[in-house]
Amino acid sequence: MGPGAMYVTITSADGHEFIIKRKYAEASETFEAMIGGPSETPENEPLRVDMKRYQSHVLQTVCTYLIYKVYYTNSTTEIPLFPIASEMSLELVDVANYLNC
Amino acid sequence: MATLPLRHGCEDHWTWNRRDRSDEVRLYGPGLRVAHFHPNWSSGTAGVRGTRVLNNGRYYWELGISQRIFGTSMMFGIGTRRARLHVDAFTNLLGEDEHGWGLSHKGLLWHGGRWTHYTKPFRENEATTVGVLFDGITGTLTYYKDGTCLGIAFKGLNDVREPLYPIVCSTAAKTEMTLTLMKRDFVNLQDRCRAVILKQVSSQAQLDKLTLPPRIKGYLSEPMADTVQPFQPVNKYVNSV
Repeated sequence: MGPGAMYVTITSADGHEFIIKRKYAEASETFEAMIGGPSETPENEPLRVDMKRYQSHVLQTVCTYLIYKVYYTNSTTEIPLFPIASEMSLELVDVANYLNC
Repeated sequence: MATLPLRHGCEDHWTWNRRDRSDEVRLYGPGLRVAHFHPNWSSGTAGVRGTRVLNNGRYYWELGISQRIFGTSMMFGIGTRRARLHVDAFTNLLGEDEHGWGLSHKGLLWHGGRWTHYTKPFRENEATTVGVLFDGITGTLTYYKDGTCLGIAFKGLNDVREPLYPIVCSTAAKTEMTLTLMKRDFVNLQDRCRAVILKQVSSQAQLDKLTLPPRIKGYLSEPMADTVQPFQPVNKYVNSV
């Protein structure tokens, strides 16, 4: 709970919440700045990030990508393809640009 | 001197595969990074594959080519596991078929048994450094010589489903190539999305119709300004030059 929390809750435009480990969220420079900055959340509340500009189907892909990125950035094993559906690519490039990840 | 590619990337570690080479290639030195071709005399073409699987990542490596540069073909590039690494003939082995993509010291690119002019022939008997940049997201292979970028050599590599590996080969006796630098970079989500979008959108006009902020449209159109000529095969089924 609070600034030292291990998990981050990301809320989407359509009311979904994604809970991921802080270390994966921090793979995005924007998330890192949002989480690491002066926190207004009281000690006993989980860390929350407001992504209410974006739909849940896009944020779900973002969360999967952040885990993929953390796992394969420091690994020298073969990297599998990260599939991006062309129907999602326009929304995803917008979020990716915002999140810098 | 131009800056190295992947300057924000990290060091990578791989080497020549001692179990995946011609008998006429000997591997020496720390980490077996020195490839020595035809130690006694040469009666054919010999190559070796690197241990790094390149697909879906961005990698850069440099080869220190020793002073002995001569002969039919000394080649640098990539290939699948099906690319041949030995033949009892002097030939442009890397790129003789669809399993390899190579640049020869004569400045020619080879793939699918076809070749095209790419850069000036290397000066014989003058040591040089060849850099290879593989981008598994945009699907391109780019060469560098002594720090100068020579331009995109091959495209469409992101459509290759089989694993791709670095490969070098040579027809000439006692020639040597040393892996001197290896870097890798993790391709960000934005670049990955751009690669997917540009498969569907091929003109600036189509791009302008998309509902995206101007800043992002500008970012998407950057590769479209690429003025490097697409790979044009000049001679069909010519196997040696």
